[in-house]
Amino acid sequence: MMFTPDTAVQLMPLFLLTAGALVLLAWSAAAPRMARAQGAFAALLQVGVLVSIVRAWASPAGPILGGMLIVDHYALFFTALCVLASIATILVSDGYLRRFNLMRGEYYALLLLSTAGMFVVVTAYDLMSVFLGIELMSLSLYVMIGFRRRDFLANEAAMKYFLLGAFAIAFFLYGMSLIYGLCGTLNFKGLLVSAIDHEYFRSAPFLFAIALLLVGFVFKISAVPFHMWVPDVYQGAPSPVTGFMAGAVKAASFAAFLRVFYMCFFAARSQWVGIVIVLCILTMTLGNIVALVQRNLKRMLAYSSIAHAGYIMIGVAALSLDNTHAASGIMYYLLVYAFMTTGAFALICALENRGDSRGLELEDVAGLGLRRPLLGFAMAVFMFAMAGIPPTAGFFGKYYVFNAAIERGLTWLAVVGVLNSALSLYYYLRVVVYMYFRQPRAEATPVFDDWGVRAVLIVSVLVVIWLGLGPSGRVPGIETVLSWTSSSVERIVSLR
Amino acid sequence: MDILSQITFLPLAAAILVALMPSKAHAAIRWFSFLATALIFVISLRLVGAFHTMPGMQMQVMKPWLPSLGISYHMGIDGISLFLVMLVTFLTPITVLSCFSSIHERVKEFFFCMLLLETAMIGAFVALDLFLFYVFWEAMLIPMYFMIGMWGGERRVYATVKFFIYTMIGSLLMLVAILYVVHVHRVQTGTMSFDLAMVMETVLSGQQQWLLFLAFALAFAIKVPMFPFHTWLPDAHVEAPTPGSVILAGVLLKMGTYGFIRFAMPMFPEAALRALPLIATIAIIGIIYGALVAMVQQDVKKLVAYSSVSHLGFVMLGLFALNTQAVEGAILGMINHGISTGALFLLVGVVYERRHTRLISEYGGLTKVMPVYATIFMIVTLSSIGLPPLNGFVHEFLILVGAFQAHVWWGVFAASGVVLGAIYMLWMFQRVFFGEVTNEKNSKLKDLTPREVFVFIPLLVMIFWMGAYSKPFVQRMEPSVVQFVEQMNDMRQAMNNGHEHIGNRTVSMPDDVKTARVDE
Repeated sequence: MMFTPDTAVQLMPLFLLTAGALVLLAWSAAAPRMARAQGAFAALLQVGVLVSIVRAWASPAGPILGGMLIVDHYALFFTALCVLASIATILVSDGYLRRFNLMRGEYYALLLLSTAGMFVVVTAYDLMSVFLGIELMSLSLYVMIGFRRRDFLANEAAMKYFLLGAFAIAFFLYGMSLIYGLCGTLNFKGLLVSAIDHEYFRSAPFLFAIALLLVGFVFKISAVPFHMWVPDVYQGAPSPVTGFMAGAVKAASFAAFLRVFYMCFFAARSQWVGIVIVLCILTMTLGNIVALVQRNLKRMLAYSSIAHAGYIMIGVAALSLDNTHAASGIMYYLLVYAFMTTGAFALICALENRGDSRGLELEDVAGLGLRRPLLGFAMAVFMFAMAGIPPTAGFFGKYYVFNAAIERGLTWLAVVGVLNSALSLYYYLRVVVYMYFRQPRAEATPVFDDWGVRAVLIVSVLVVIWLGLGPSGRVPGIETVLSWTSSSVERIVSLR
Repeated sequence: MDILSQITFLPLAAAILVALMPSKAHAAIRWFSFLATALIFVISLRLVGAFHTMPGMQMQVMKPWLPSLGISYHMGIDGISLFLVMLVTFLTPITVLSCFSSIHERVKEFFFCMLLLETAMIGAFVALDLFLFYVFWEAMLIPMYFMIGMWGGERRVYATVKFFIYTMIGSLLMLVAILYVVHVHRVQTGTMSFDLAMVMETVLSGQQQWLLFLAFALAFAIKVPMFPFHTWLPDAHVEAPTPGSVILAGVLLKMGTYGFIRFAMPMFPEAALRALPLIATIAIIGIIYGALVAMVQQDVKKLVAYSSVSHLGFVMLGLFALNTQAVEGAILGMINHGISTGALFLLVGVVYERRHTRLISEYGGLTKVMPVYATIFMIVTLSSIGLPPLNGFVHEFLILVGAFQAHVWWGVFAASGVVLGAIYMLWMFQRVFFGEVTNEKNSKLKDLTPREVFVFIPLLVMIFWMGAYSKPFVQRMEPSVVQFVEQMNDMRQAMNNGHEHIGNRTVSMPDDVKTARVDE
C-alpha cells in the first residue's frame, strides 16, 4: 500500500474529523462545563475540513488504501454537503441544547464522528468500506437521537432506529457475503470486472444478494417498505439532529447507493430497475398521502422526507450510461434538499419551547408570518421549495430529475411524480396557511432565534432561491453546480 | 436595459422598495405603489409607440440564461400580446388606487404582493422561452394565493388552496409536456432548446401531438376556466378582496386563452384541429351554462364570476372558429372583458366597502341615493352585455360573425348566450338600483368620492373608445392574427388532403419571417 502525499491530502478531511472527535471526547471529559467552547471548536474544525476538501478537489483521484476508498469529485461533493449540514447543525444546536439543558461536549464529538462516517460512506470503493462507514455514521447517531435520555419518545426513537438499523445492516452484510461468494471480491472495480462475465448477473443467488443490499440502502434512504422508523425517529430525536439526518444522512446513503448501483451493478439494470420503480412509486405516494393528515410538523416533514426519497429514486430508475442527467440530477436534488430541510428544521428548533419530544403542532406556527415576517418568509420559501414551485431550487431539482426520466423513456413515471407533487402541495401550503392566514394563539410563544439559527436560515433561503434561478457568473449558479455534478458523474462512468 | 425587461422588472424593483419601507407608513406605501405602477403604465405606452404593424415578434430580447440547458431569457411581443401587456399595466394602477380605503391591514404586504404579481403577469405575456414562461406562469400563483388567503372573506383558506391546487395540477402536466417536447426536439436536432420558435419545429407523430396538446390544453382550460374546470373560480372570486378579483378576472383568466393562442394551438396545430369540435362544444356549453347559473345568483360578485365563465366561453369559441374576424374578436374580447369585468368588480367593491354585503336582496333603489354610482354601473353593465356603441358590442359581433361563418349552429347557440347575458345583467341592475329604497341602511349611503370617480374615469374612457373606434386596436393585431389563422388553415387543408400525420410545419414561424429589433 502506497501512502503518497496525494493520499494524505485526500484523506485530510477524514483525519481532521476523527482527530477532532477524539480531542473533543477527551476535552469534554476533562472540562464538561466548556461545552459551548467545544461546539465552537467543532464548527471551526469543520471549516478547516471544507478547506481540505477544496485542496483535495485538485489532487488526482484514484482508488487509495488498497482500493478501499476513492476520493473523487463525487465523494468530495457529498462530503462538502455533509460537512455544511454538520456546521449548520452545530449553529442550531447551541441555543437548542442550552435551552433544554442538554448541553454536553460529547454531543459535538459524536457529530464529528458521524460526519467522519459519512466521509467513509461516500468515498467507499469497496462494499466493506460502505458497511464500515454506515456503521460509524449510524452508531454515533443512535446516541444523538436518544440524547434527551429522560424522555420516553426519545428513547423509543433511539431504540427503534438502533434495532431496525441493526437488522437492515445485517441484511446488507448477508448480501455482501453472497456477493463475495459469487465474485470473490467486494471491491467495486473487481465487481465491475466480474460483471463483464454476465453469468453471475442472471443467477438467483446474485439477484438475492442485490435484493439484500437494496434492503440496507432502502432503509437508510428512508424509502418504502423500510420507512416505518422515520416518523418516530424524526419526532423523537432532538430537532437539530433530525435536520442533520434528513439533510446529511439521506444524502450520504444515497451517494453510496448510487455509486454501487451505477458503477458495479449497472450491467444488471434490467434486473433491479423494476424493483426500484415499484419502490419509488410506493415511496412517493405513501409519503405524500400520509403526510396529508399529519398535524405534527416534525412528523409531517418526516413523511415529506420519505416522499422526497421517492422523487430522487425516479432519478435512480432513469440512470443511463449515455448521459449523466439522471445522476447529476440526483446530486443536485440532494444538495438543494439538504438546504431546504436544514433550514426548515432550524426554524422548528427556534420555535420549540417544550422540554419534551412532542415537537411542534401546526397550531404552534399559527400567525408566525404576521408576528415575525422574516421567519415566516423563510419558512414559506422552504415550503414552496419542497413543493417544487418556481422560482426555487426545489423546482429546479424536480425539473432535472423528471427531465432525466423523460429522456430515459419513463415519461409515465415523471407523470406519476408530478401528480405526487400536486398532492404534496396541500400539506406544504397548509403550513403557509397557518403561518399567514390564522391568528396567533392568545399567549404569544417566544421564538428563540439566536444568531446561529439566523445564520442558517439566511444562508439556506439565499441558496434555495439562487439555485432556482441563478445564472452562472461571478457567483456560482445553477450551471456551475450542474457542471460539478456532471463532471463527477463522468469520472465514475469513465472508471468503468 | 431593453423596454420589455424594464416593464417586466420595474414592478419587482418597486416591490423590493415597498418591502424596505416601514410597515406603519401606510399612506407612503399606497402612494408609492400607485405612482410606481402609474409610471410603469406610462413607460409601457412606449411599447405602442414603438410597435410596428406587421406579423412576427418585435422588440425581442434574447440573452443566455442557462445556456447549457438550452434555456434562454427570450422575450418579445406581437400584435396579440401587445394589448394584453397594456391591459396589465393599465389595470394595475387603477386597482392599486381603488384599494386605498379597502385595505387597512398589512398594507405593506398587500402592495408587495400586488407589485410582484404585476411582474409575473407581464413576464408570462412576453416570455418566448417555454421555461421562462413556466417560471412566470407559476410565480403568478404565489402572490395571488396570499392575496386571497390574507385579505379574503370568510372561506378564504378553502378558496385559495383550491385555486392553487387546481391550477397547479394542470401546470404540472404541462411541465411534463414541455420537457417531453423539448426532449423530442433534442433527439431530432441534437440541440437542447426551450425556445418557442425552435420547439415548434419539432416533428411529432399524431398521437404525440394529441397527448401533448391535451396536457397544455388542460393547464390553460383550468385557468380560463372552461366549463368542467371552472369550479374554483366562483369560490376564488367570492372570497378574494376586490383588488384580487379585479386582477384575477381582468388578467389571470386571460393567461389561459393567451396560452391557447400562443402555445397550445400553434405548437400542436393538428391536435388542436382534431380537438376543435370538442373545445368549441364545451366553449358553447360554458357560454350558456355560465349565463344560466349567473341568472340565479343571490350574490352580485358570484353573478359577475359566472358571467366571466360565459364571456370567456365566447373568447374560446372565437379562437377556435379560426377565421380572422373571430380571432380578432376573441383578442378584443380578452381586453374588453378585462376592462368591463374589472370595472364591475370595482363597482361591487364600492358598495361592499360601505355595506359589507353583496347580496342583491339587501339593495334596491340605489339610483336615488347614489346617482353617480348608478350611472357608472349602468354604463359598465351595458358594456358587459354588448350594447353598441360600447366596447362589448365590437368583440361579440366579431365573434358571432366568425362563429356563423365557421358553423351555423355555433353562431346560433352563442347568440343565445348574448340574450341570456342581457337578461341576467339587466335583471340584477333592476333589483339593485330601481324601485324604492326598501332597506333602511341604504338610505344614507354616500355616493362616490372624487378618488373613486377618478378610478373609474380611465375605465369609462376605454369602454367608449374601444366601442366607438376600435380600429387602432384591431389594426395593430391584425397581421399577427392573419398569420395565425393562415397557419392553422393551411394545416387544416393539408390534413384534408389526406396527410394524416404531417409533422412538418407547412408555414414558417413568425420569428423567421421578420424580426424587428427596435430597442437594442
